Amino acid sequence: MNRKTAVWLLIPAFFGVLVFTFFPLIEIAIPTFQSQAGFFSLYTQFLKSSYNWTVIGRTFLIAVLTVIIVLILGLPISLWIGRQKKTVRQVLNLLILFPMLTNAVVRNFAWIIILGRDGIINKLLLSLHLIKAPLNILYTNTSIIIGSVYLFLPIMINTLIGSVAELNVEIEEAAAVLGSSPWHTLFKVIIPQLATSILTGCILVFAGTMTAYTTPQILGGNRHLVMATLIYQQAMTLGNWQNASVIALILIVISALSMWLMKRLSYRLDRRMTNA
Amino acid sequence: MANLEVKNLAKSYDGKTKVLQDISFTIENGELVSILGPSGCGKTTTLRIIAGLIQETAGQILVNGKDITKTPVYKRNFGMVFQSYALFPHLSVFDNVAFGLKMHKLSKQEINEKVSGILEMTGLSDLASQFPAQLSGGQQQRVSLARALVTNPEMLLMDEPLSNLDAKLRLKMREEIRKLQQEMKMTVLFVTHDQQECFAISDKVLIMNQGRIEQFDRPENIFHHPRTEYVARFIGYDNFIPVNADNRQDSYHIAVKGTRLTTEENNENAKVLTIRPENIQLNADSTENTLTGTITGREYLGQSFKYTIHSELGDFQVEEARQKMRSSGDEVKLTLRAKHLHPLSE
Repeated sequence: MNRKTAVWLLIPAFFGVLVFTFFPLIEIAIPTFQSQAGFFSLYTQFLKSSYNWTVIGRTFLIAVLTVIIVLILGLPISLWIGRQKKTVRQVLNLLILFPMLTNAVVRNFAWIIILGRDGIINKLLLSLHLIKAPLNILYTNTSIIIGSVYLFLPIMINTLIGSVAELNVEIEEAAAVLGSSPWHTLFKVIIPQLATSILTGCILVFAGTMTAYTTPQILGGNRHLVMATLIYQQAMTLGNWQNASVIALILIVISALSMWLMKRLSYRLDRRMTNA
Repeated sequence: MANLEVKNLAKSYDGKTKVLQDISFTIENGELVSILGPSGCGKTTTLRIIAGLIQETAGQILVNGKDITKTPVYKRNFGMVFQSYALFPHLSVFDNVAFGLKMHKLSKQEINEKVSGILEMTGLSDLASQFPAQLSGGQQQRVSLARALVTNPEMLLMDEPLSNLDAKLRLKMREEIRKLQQEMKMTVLFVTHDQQECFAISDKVLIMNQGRIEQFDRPENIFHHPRTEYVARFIGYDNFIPVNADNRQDSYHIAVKGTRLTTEENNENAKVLTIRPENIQLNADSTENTLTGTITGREYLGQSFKYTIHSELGDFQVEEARQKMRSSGDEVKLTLRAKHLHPLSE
């Protein structure tokens, strides 16, 4: 079979994507430009509100902080698991992914129990006399970030383990013989080799956090809306579907733009490592 | 460059199995010493302990008389070439070579000068901005060598550096390495499992087996005077005649199953006599150490024929350079010249 005939085999998939992804998006997009006040009027109206900017800023901040924390926690864990024997590595990887088999709502309610005023953390800190009054952790940006980190850490670890396992240990030994201390080797030899996987993990976590609905809804409450929960509020509470669509499209554009930037960076890194 | 002294090195991972025991040897300044042995004999472990990549269980390593046993790997100032070359995939050829110099905190100008110098010496100047993935195996090998040499290390450690190259390139690289080593008067420890390679380039060869040193000597001495049966087998002595105290007549004469054999070397502790296949003569005009046998197998080797000959002292492997092949079943006279017949005590 040559390339030309092979292309025909893609037709079913092409229509699948067209019908189930592209058309719904168009369906959402069209009404947002049909306001009587003008083509972009719904967008300018939305962006004029400082409250909406707060939500966009919060969404972005939570996503960025989540990515950073997930990376800082995930990298050492991945380095450790990735260096184990294959069988051990597979078992540990399975354990890491295990929480993802549980429903997201259930997992978030677990965090309410842990982070609440009468939660485990506050009880522990009070009993140790480290604090005098219970801390307000739940229904803040902090609780959303904690929930998101917990949610997406397995994805980062799972993305990195494979690349860590494929690292040639002799390269690190070569660095050591040339006079590189273990820390220097970590930052100048190991992490650069993992750069593309790290970026892939960051893109997945970033996109996931930007668009996550359940976690900010349950752990953020009504006072800490992010874009996803704002969409829900506009559509389901206020019945303003047009506005909900506007926010959805802005969210898509921001996510797509961020991912495109990271992808470009990853492509540049990748080109050096593989035979060009 | 420096001299290296290894004293009573031992290694065990579990306290019971001895990966290395009682390894002691000295490499003089400017010498190229090879460690030769089959895989699992401990040769790479020895090299890695000297580099500081593995911790020894016991023993001492001295460079120029200074004990470096407790010095961490990144403070030892050795150069090392790995079997996989282990180039940094994210750095260009230039930056790969510059890596060690940056560790030594040299100025930018000094780094530029030194890297350019060594790249020119190894014929890599045109490739300076390339990345390792874009290079051939031979080029990667050169970069790895340049990277190891540019820091002016105390000595160069090479772990099977040629085994990933094809046969032709391997010959060329080993000549280059030897030439470079002699020009720069480098002290080199070279690990290999290839006997020919190791004999071709080494000042001295250390043959290892099961974590012990079998023999440490100049290549020609090992070739002509293997110390143990293991070494003899490893370097191509195919014929072994077991002897015991009852066979011995005096220090130079042994009688085995009615055949009287003379040796030039003292055979007092001999447990076995050995001779190379090409040193047995067929139907020679001599009465020195002769026995008769029948050809039971034959093989064409190109420049010579190889025969399996059955005799009263067992089967012999004999290589003979001759125009015409002998026939199977032929009865022949074997001559085992005394100067080639070596008594081995182990």
